[in-house]
Amino acid sequence: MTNEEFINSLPKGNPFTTPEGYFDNLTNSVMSRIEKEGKPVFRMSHYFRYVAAASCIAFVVAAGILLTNHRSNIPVIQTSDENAAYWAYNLDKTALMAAVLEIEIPEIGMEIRYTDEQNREIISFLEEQNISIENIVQNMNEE
Amino acid sequence: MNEYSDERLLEMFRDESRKYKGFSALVEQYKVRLYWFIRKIVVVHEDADDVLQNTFEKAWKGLSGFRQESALSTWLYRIATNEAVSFLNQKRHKGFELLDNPESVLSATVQDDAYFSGDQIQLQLQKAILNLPEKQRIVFNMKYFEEMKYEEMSAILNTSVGALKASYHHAVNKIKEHFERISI
Repeated sequence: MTNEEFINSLPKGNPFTTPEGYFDNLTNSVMSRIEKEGKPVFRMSHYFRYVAAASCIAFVVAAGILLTNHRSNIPVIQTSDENAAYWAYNLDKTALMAAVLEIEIPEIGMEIRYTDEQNREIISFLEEQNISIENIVQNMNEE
Repeated sequence: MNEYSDERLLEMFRDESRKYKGFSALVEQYKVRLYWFIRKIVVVHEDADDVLQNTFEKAWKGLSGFRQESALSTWLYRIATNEAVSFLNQKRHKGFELLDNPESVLSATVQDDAYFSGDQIQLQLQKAILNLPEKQRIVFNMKYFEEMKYEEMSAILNTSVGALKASYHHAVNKIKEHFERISI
């Protein structure tokens, strides 16, 4: 049998299948992913990403010491980069802004202080999200 | 569904107010053929879905820079091929099954794939194809299943027509040998 005869004797049909309805939902699935990708996200520097995990531990230790000592005035944490990364990942926008303004964070009753560079990065993120500083402060005062 | 020309799809995409609609039409138009092309390379449905999504994401990001030096389909197949090949390479680097010959793993996967409904001859054909070296496998799939012309394959794979013909010839020989060995 020649190669051509052999190849012509083989089945050309498609033996693979897909889950039911896969192609029906595919376009929406692709477009959702693209739209999601297109939204602005808070991108931190590589350094911040590396230290994010370590920051959890650092924060727990710091918070533990502060809470154990239980002082009457609001505790203050001067942030290291590790803590900044932790907060940036874990706090909501109101709390982030509160931290930038160096006022008490409602969720934990603590004040977090960022460095100027960290503040600029956070404010830039909040601005991209169209979050007004005035509104946040006003809301917090009302609470 | 309406079939749009490449020109029309690009025109819609370049108009900011119809960008999403244009790209959605492109996905609708190419999703099935790109999926099956990718599926035959990576075998597993879930992997094919991932690679296809990545392909469209790359296309979305790159389409504004597409210079129309080739057909849109050629450009999309090129992205799909690159994505599928790099997906398999990543699997290898991640120690996928820790085997020297990942093709043999893919070949074994076909047999257990919940989304494989072929008969014994089709199963053996897929096994034979999956045991081919990567380039030959892609060339065989393009020529045999997609029925592409060598010129288009040449543009997608950036390989000369002569080399593609040689790859296809070697692939057919090896598949034939596989069938002779198992005596089907």
